[in-house]
Amino acid sequence: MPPVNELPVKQSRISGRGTGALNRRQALGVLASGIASGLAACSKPDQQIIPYVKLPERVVPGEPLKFATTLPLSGIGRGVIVTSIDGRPIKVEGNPRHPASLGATDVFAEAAVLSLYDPDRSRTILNSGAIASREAFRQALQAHLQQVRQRGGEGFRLLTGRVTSPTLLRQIDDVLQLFPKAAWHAYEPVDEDSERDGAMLAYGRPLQIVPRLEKARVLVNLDADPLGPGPDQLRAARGFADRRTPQGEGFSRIYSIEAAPTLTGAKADHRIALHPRLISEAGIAIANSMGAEIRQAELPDHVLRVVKQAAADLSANRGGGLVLAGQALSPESHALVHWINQHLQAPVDLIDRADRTAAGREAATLAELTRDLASGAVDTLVLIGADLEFARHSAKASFRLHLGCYVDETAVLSTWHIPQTHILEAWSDLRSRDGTASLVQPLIRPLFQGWTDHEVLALLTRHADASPYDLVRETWRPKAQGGFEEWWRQALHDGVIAASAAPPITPGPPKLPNVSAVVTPSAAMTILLRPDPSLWAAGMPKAADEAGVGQFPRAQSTRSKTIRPLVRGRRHPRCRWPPDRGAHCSRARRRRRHREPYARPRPSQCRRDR
Amino acid sequence: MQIFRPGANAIATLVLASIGVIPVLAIGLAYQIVGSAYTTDQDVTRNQPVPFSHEHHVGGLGLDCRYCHASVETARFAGVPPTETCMTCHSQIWTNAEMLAPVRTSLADNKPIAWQRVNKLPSYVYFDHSIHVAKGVGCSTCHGPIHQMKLTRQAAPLTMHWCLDCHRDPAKSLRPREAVFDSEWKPPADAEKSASQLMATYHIRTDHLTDCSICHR
Repeated sequence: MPPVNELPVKQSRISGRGTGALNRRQALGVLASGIASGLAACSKPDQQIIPYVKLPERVVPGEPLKFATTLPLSGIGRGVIVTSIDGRPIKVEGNPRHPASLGATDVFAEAAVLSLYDPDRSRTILNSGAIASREAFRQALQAHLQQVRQRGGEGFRLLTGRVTSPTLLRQIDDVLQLFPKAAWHAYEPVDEDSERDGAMLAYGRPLQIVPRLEKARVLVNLDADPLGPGPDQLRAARGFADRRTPQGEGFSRIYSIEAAPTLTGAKADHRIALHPRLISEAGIAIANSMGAEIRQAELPDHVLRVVKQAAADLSANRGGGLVLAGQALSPESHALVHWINQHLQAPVDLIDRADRTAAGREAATLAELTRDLASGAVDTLVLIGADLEFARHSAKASFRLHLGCYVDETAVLSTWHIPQTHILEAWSDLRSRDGTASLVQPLIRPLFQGWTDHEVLALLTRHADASPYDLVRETWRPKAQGGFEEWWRQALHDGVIAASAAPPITPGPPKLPNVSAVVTPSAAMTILLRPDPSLWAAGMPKAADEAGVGQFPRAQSTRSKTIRPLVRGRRHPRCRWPPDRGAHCSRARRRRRHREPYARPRPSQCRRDR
Repeated sequence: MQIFRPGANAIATLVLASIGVIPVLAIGLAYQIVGSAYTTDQDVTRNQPVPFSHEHHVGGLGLDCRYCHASVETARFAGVPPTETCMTCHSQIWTNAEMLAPVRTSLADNKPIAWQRVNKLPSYVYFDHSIHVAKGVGCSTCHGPIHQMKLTRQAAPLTMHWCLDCHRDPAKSLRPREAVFDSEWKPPADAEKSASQLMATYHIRTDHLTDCSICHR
């Protein structure tokens, strides 16, 4: 019988080649070989050159190509020319042929490239937060649409941002024709409600105002800020700059009455800061001086003096005087400004709004949608590119489909979220403020498998994969003069569709609105909500913010100095924590022995305070 | 009682001497390694997906460089031909050759051929082919006797020193523009005179040619 080994003895480490543990000699050997192999890694790394299989026309690998497209801001298009290298867009520049760009871009157009490559973009279909497949989505959608169709579209609501795309408007018409009881709502965070209602009051139709600043010899700006951020900024800025030359028709003069510091106020020749509720009084004063005979304007004397001067200037420059009203003013003030401009024969064009369908349908408001949701009348909700939180009411709609570039709060609340292709990856078309239409062409194949808004609406109507390219061509085929292919290539090359600007309308004389009694500003605080010059509105892509667009220097610095609380004890210049947090460092402890009570705030030397 | 053995003296002298000598030798060795073919990959033939022979196509058939490397006169990257270029001939010649199967597969599957890069420059170097070709630097000056290479290799070390040798005195690397794409061109007997004439004809000025920002942009 072999002896039982009751005392297993550990093998000696010195001779332990097979134990798996290293002895000192082996460890040193491994170290040396590691160093040697580090030295050996001195040659160039392997690279590959991957050419095309079929080289596309005009592409030279590594050399830039430029393509014209259009980018939206609040749904309104500005034509741009995008530089792309090897099929990847890298830089956005203005399109000199497009009237909304005139060769310039604004911050939001430049940031489009940043949001295209944003790693936080939505990439997959989500079904109540869980990743789902395209087939599952299609089946669920079709099953639900069956029911909707049987009811004739009752309970179906479509919510979009501002839509100026003729193709999308055509598709919305199709959807509403298919579902007669459905409704279309549009919501834009930075909207023009007052302007629209003002035109309704004055002319009886919701006309769009297109100011021509290049013809304005005298401009009176009532909180309008045409030079400030917005979809029309580039055109307005160019028009403004064109009139600031002594040659030609004479140097312009600008009066700016505004509630907050703006770019227009900075460039104005006369600027008054006024409480927002009193700005409409200035409009009344100007109208009175032209014979409107409304009630007396209640303004402080120094303001009244300047307003009278502005009114005199306007009257002396018939055909070259222009008054603009801002969004914060009431619709009545807008109507009054319409009357003034008509009286002055101001260089302003009135056109039909671009955000209504060919059949004349207009979007309903968000308030109506919320009301419908609350009453439980909505069962299917399709949100395209709208970032809203319906937390309280949205659960009442059983099928919520959200199309968006990001998984934002709205996506989280939806039953289905599908990723949207970025505007630089999509075929579409857009109109600018003056009605000029231009095509949107993709600069890169979609990075993630998403849908465009056109494809989603096509899914709703025809359940087929209609390509946005064909849809856009279909929209413009009847409007092309001559051969369609030539017209199409020219439109893509130019980045603007020739002669598509909306013709100016001469409506009847505007009605004077019933301007109610003076609203005295209360003693409480008034809050002014304005779009951020770098972020625009809440729906701006977050990458643009992370990449630093939100940190670009703003034209007007509105940050106030921090007001430091009076704190006993002195902060050591190099410490980050206020002294009342205790003796966190020896310096603070030493300083605490020599406390000084504060007499006045001192500029902080701590980085934390800046 | 002696602490040190008799040979300790010799060892100490040797160590002191090497403290001076060994760093010099080490640095010299490092320079040799860095300049050697091991680091620069000079004359290293890489495995390619298709064993393309420049000797046959350029030397034998007489194809011009620009037929495949089409953007050499207009862009900074000379360009590797797309599969379509190969198929312009090989859809009719050698259509069933085993060697050309990857080319046919690439065209059929619409997947590009992944060539291993032979002439490698680091990415902090900006090299523009078009300006060199326009100023009379021939292809074979830098890329060697391409018409004799059965398999492509990097014929020049492509180190900064080697580039600067020419940038300091470009005359010796120039040739008339008609001969730029001729792999077999040899400089004529009166090389000096013709070289300086070429410098004048092509307006080559060397005063800024060795500035850092010429290549490191």
